[in-house]
Amino acid sequence: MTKPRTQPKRTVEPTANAAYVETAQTSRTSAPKGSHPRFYLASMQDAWEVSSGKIVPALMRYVVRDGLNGTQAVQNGGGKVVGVDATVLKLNLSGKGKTIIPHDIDGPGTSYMVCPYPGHYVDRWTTLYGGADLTTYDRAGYDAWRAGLVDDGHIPAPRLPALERLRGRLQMERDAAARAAAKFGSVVTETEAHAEVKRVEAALVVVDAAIRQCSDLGAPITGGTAEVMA
Amino acid sequence: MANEILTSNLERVDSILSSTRLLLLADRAIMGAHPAILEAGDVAGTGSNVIKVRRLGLDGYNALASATEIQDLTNIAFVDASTNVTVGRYSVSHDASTISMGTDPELDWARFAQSLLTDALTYETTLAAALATGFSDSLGTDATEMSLTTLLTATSTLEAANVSGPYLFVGHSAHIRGLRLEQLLGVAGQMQYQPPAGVQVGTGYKGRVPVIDVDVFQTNRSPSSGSGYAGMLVGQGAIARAHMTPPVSDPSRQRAMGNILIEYGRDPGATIDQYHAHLYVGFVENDDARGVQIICKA
Repeated sequence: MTKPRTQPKRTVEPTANAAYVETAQTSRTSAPKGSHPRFYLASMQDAWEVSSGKIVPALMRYVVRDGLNGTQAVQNGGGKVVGVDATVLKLNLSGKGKTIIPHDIDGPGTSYMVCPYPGHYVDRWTTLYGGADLTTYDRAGYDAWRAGLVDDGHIPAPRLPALERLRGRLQMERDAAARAAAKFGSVVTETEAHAEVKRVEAALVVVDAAIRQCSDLGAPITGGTAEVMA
Repeated sequence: MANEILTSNLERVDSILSSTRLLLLADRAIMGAHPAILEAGDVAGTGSNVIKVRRLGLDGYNALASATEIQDLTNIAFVDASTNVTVGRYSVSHDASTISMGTDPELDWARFAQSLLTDALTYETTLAAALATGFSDSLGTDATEMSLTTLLTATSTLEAANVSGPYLFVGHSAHIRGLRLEQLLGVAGQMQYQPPAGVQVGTGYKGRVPVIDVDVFQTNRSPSSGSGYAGMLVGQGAIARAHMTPPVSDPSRQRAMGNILIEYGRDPGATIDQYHAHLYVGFVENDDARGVQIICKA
């Protein structure tokens, strides 16, 4: 007698069935505007920018998805996803001099990441509005938080080489913007071109002031007196 | 008058399906293979879903020292580095009743297989585009238009870091808007953006900037950054991709195409057809110095 065939036990959670949408005119392939999968912010010692008139760390965002940026899901015995293993991500980043900023760096119960829709996340300075493809962004709040990370000692203040590098970058941007402004039509409008020059020049003033005040040159590299050559 | 024959008193169907139809709007751009994206390999049968990509200090990396005729030189350290790529699974699934499939003039196994394959291929674009926000070098702001000047500056940054080309610019349609405005408003110099010939497609490869050797790829899957969007200019090896070729255990209901597995299932009790696509891939920022993040206003 043939033994009845039994269904093999599933070891992973079944894929959610995709809804069949007949009327929506917007793309189902895109997440709500401004949102991401879960993510980490990371800092890098030499990555800085000028925003809101301050020198603030230029933070990178690393999306956490199975197979992206080295992360992978952690499953329980039934195949249900119970967490994310970011070990490889952290290993990759540490090799590049980048440091992940903990979600609760502002204290227990806080997070810079919020979840307005299940599966979709934003940083806490981004606000999504339901029913419309509209977001607002609190730039000043984000910049104040980034500056606070330095003030609170979570991120070391920029050293002189990093500031010099930032100044070099801004000078390159300023020169390019100035050339564009001089050649009307090469940027959208002449007004916008000149505005860009002014924006970068204002940033340069901030960086120049920081360089004048910066005493942290990093560890000096000294050597003995070189030999005298004939 | 009376007893006229009107549509309202005839036996009629509500409507019929036209043989002409449109696809719902979506970003269907497929980035596919580009020389700037390093293919790390297939993890099938390797014993791990994590693959390590090495960067070696060879072939011109090391400087030679002058030495006297019989001087015994001190050896130098060999420099290498690596990044790990983790291959994960992404899936999409449709369940359909036999009545719905039996009466629909278009939807069947073959049509779903084609669609699911495209879903998987285009999703790879989402994964690759999401890496833009990880590059520490950043140009532009969420308050300014993208410009050719920005692209040129980013190109210069990569060239100064000895990054090999060809370079690939991946940007949102907002980025392309800036480039196109500049083009249409009449750049008179040599920095002409060369759009593709023929019919314009919504997204995808949009031509190249020949003077600086940059391919331009447009995708609205580019992530947001502040109130704008983050694109990226990457050179060879900035991004690494790894994949797994899935095993096919039942060819009668499974088809593997590269790293994509399309399969059909059936729940006979509920008379449900099941169509699945599984994508096995991993993307990672391989080398931070080989890419530049470019932000523009939305």
